[in-house]
Amino acid sequence: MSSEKKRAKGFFSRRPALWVTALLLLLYIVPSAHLKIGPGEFLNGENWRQMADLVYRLGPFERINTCKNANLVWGETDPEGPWSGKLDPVKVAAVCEREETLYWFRPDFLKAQVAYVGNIKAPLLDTFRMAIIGTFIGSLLAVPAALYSSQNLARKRWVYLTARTVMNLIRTVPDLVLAAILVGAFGTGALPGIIALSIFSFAIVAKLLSESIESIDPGPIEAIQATGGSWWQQIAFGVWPQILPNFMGYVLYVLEVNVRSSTVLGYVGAGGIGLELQTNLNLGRFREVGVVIVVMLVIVVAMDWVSNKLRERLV
Amino acid sequence: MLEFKGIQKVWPNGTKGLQDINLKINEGEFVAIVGLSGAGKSTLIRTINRLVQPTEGELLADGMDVCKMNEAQLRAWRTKVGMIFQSYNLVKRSSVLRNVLSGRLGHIGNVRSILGLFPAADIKLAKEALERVGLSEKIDSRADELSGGQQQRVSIARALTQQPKLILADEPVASLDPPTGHAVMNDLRRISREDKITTLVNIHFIDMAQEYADRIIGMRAGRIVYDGPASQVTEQTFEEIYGRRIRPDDLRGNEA
Repeated sequence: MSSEKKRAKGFFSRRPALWVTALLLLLYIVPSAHLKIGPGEFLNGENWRQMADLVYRLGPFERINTCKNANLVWGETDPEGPWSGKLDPVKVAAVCEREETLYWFRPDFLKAQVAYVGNIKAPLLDTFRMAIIGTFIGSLLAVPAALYSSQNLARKRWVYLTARTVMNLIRTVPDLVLAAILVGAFGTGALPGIIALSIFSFAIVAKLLSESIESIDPGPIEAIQATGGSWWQQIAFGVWPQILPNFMGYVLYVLEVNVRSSTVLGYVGAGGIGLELQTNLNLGRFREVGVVIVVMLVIVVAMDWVSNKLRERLV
Repeated sequence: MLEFKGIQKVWPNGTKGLQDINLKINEGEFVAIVGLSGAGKSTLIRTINRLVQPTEGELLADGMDVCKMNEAQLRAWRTKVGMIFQSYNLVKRSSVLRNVLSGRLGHIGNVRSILGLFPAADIKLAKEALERVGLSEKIDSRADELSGGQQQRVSIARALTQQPKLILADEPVASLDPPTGHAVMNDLRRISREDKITTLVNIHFIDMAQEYADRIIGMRAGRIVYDGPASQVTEQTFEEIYGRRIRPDDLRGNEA
């Protein structure tokens, strides 16, 4: 039977788990030896203390430096001073052997943080709008791009190769750089952010989708071809139903990524909550930064939940 | 109605898929093509609707050379040729009706079909085809909810919806259990008779070939090694075609 796949009988296919483990170990050992970092770096307590400090400063806590193990220093009395002749030594100073930072929970800080959520509603909505529009435009354009850059659908090899190369080029540009360039061209505001997110979503969705397309069952395509269907009909009837759940999954995933990255895009002036985040960070208002992060977290978790529900419906 | 003249197929890696095929298929015939896997049965059948492009030779269909048809002519020819596959090749996530309607794609434009706007006449055809294979009540089910035999019937209905002059069946029963396989072959046979559709079936079960076909064509290593009426075929003929003794797995067995 021609459709039966032949099993590869290579050396590496016999013990796949072993080889994958070896490969992963190699992927860690070789570069880490070069970068001169080892597990010690990760286990360094000071680094983690710094981390913890940052996390506390994002929350409703007041930082107080206190002294642990204050040692009293005793001095000799001045033999010529007014206290001379006294037998007792004199307390001179208290020296801190080790400083300790304490964090006090402040309900008033928390109240202020909760109130602050109301202040960032507008930029948050802007971010959301940017992310949704960017995802929509990018994903829509990604569909034809994915079709043209899938090997199994390619009618002309050069079209496929060109499409693939262009897609790779677009993916190479970091979204932040893209946004910075676009801000330069269009000025600050939501528009450069939307364009940057569109291009970014386009590149991701097209890549993932073309990989899905390359792994679909070729049978239905052949069947549509055999009925006299055109290329577009083969796509609409043989390919599209097979990739639809994947496509929806990618779109929802990219929407999530876009909500997150649109916060960073505000940094280069592309509007939304990112601007608020940047201002807060610059002014050292860590508690406000913390609020923005928590709100983003809630949004991302909520979106994850919603997209899971949607995907269950679709598959 | 079909005439192969010196058809050759050499694959890009140099393997000879078909060698010197000269063959005439008559209107309304029910032909079984037998042979071991790799003998070229699938390749032969696929040259007819040019899913495989022969490297040499002529294939005349109603006086036109299939090998030289342009895109539009080829599509027009394919609309007249229904095809049934071993693995059914249905779109699993689509409904039965949509799968069957895809048999009409060659007759409607890109935009209409992409929007799913099939003419009422086409929908009627699809429903009739489903009725003929006994699956009317499954019309709105998703294709992957059906059993293997039902899926193969849907693919027969898809071919029927094309209103074909010719049906090509590539190992239609190889994935089915014996009783289901017989039921599917019965359907094919009945439809071929009723609608006078010329039918070519690739099959490697010799008992089924004998039971259902009018004519048997034997293939080995890309060549036709036997061609004759099914009534004259004996076990010895099959041993000659297969180049070895007949084994139990060459037989499908009777209807259970």
